[in-house]
Amino acid sequence: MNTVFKLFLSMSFSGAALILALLAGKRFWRDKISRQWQYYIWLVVILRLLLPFAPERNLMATACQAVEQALSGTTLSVLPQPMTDTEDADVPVSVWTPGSVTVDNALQEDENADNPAPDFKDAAHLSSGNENVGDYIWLVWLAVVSGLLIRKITMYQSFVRYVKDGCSPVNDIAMLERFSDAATQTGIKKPVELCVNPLVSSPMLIGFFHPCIVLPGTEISEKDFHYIALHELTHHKRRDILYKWLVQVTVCLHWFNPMVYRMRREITRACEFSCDAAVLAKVGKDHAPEYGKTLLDAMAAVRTYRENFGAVTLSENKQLLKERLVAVMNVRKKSKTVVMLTGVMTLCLIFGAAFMGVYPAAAAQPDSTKEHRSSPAEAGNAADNNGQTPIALQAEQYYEAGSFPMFLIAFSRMDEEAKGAWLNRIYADGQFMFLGAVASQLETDSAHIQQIAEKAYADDSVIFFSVVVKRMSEKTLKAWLDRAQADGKFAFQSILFDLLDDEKLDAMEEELEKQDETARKQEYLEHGIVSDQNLKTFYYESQLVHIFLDIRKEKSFYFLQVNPQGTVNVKVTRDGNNHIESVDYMTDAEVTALFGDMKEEENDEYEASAYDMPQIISVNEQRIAAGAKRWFGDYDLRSGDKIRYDIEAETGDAIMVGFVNNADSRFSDTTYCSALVHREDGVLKCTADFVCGEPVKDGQYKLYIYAPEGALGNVKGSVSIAHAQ
Amino acid sequence: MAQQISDAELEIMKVVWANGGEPALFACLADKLAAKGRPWQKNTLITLLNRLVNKGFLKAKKIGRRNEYTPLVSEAEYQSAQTKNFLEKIYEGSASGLVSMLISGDMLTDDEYEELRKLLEKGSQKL
Repeated sequence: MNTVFKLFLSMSFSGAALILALLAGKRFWRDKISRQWQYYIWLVVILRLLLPFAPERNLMATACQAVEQALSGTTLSVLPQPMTDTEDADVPVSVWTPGSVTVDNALQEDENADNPAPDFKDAAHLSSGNENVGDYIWLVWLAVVSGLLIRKITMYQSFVRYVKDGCSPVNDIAMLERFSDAATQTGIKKPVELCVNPLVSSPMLIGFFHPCIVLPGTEISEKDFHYIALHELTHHKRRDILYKWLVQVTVCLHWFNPMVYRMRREITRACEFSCDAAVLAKVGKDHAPEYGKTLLDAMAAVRTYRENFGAVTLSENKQLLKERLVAVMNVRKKSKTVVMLTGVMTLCLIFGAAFMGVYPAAAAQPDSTKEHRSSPAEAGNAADNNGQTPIALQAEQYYEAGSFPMFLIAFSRMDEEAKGAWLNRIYADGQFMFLGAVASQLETDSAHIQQIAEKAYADDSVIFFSVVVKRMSEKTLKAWLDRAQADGKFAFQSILFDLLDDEKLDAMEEELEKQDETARKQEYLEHGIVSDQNLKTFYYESQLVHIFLDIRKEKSFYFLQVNPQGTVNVKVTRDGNNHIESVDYMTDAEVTALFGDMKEEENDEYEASAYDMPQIISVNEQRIAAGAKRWFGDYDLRSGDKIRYDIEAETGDAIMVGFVNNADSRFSDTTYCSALVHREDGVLKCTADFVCGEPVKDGQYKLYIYAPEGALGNVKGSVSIAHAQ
Repeated sequence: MAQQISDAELEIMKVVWANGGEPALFACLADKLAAKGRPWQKNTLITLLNRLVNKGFLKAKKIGRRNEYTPLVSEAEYQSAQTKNFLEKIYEGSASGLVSMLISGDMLTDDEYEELRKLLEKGSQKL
């Protein structure tokens, strides 16, 4: 394999680890740390992915040592061997492989995590055996990269041409003056062109050297225009197009790395978020509602040209828009502590980037082999002299930065005592995400697992308990189940039942659920909530409940029931002992916060509730001869029933689907709800909806598929009939 | 000269032409426009000037950090092209149609009418 390519692979791996670290950290800092930071911190990752070298030479040696320390003693003793075997050949393979293993572990929480040595040997064998294949892979990579880059560039050019062709400059001098005002406010010296193109659906910024803001039309209010101009000019000021292209190029180069696509998505979001934040910082927080309204209005139009990368548009998509609105409303000044913390985190990440990239980079250079040979000894010394200090320090850093993968590496190298201490700390901090990651490193039924389980059980912490039970043997699980049953802890029992797969237990679980339901029904009744037997319908203060929500203290476990006919929304809160603390009506804000995403689905449900569960008739015919009709059974159709065809044929030119009310009568006379479709753009697909009514009289009908022009091959799909209630 | 220019751009061109074909400095243009009751912002003016340069009406030359603008199209050239365009569009190329409209529409003062008559006579003497 080409050394440069290998170096590149290692960059990709360390980049992926950094991306994972940032993604994992996001949930902790999303609303706490400045949006600008969240946007620009990705630059560190991009630089890691693009630049093969570390900032300082001497850092390499230190980093090599640190990593080798991080590897277990067994690995160290194995390490020098393949090196001497393949002295002239590609040493780096053997060195970067363990790195890749740890990344995989972080991803899959692989059980072999504490013993990377066997994988490492296999990989070394594989790579030395497939030297020729390696060369080939390198070429494939290059071919795909150039292909992707050319495609990206041509698509961007055609997009710019599409936009520019329909552009006419804005001649309204008043508007130009307002635009200049916005430019002054943004602090832009070089003027930006302002154009109108009715073909674009939302305002956008195109061109890097000759920037131009394109509006869909000039009929916008003074306020909207001001905000739009500020937003787009801010994009220009921050050189977001350059950033976007940097990301695109990185994605093209690392096309095989799934994490970079995730990164691109994150950056796109972060870009808009931080731009909104920057605009609001300029105009003042009181403008937030109006600015949010402008975002909404800009979204009202649907984009006509789908590929809008490279251009910076005001509205990227609906989901993102929703989040942006929430963020816009929550803009606030960051406290000094947060600013300090941000600084520390940035340093951590940059250090992390250098540290991770350096290790493989150093390894990929044959002349660094010598450093390597000496390092195991040094590493050994360090470990002898000073047991856990460096690892503990690293673990501390990664833990603070919320970086799972790196923390895991450090954790797996700790002794039992240190592991125990960390587990206690994670538990005390309530970091169940970390516990989940770390648990995979612990042995089944180990003392640590038991200890945490005991604690969680005593504290009624269902969520922590559910994490550690995954590392228990069946025997232990059964013992826990007996205990939970004896203590009458339903939540714990249900977790254990889910994990134990046993018929006898299934029956028990059902029984238990019934008991639980009866108990809950009684409990609700005591707090003025009347429910039916199955806990499906609730009444509160003589009103039918629409949304019924019962949340445990730690929010790990909730019970939710929605009744479309209901008129009030009720929320049950529980105290630490799991007793009902209060029953309240939910505020509108709470409903939106909890069910904002589900609203649309709910509407579908309302609609669906007017119909029975649809009857699905699946169609799978290898061949229907020319002029032949195939029958698919008898169905009762009544006025108001909904019929949907979704049938595709692989070969053939035309397909007809429909119903006849009597199979004996002539075809053309009595066919109902029929759809005749011809092949279009190479596809022969019949999708149609009907609602029964005149001239379809209530009665029994036969479903048919007909091949009017030539034979049909591989006819597949379904017909669904939803009977009106 | 197929390019059309907007009203605001024409205002700028008038100031440039008034300079008598000499190159005009940016600051000088801005001052003169402000004096004519058009106190446009710097960015607006630069955008408009850039458009004129792109349309081939002006030539920009950088002198140090200042821009100097020279007209590439004279006022007479612009007027004749615009008139031709106007004749084509409104009178289908017939100049007599335009003149008869000017006279019958009472759009000329007596002095102007005299002047026009003299011009016509001069023209016929030349032939």
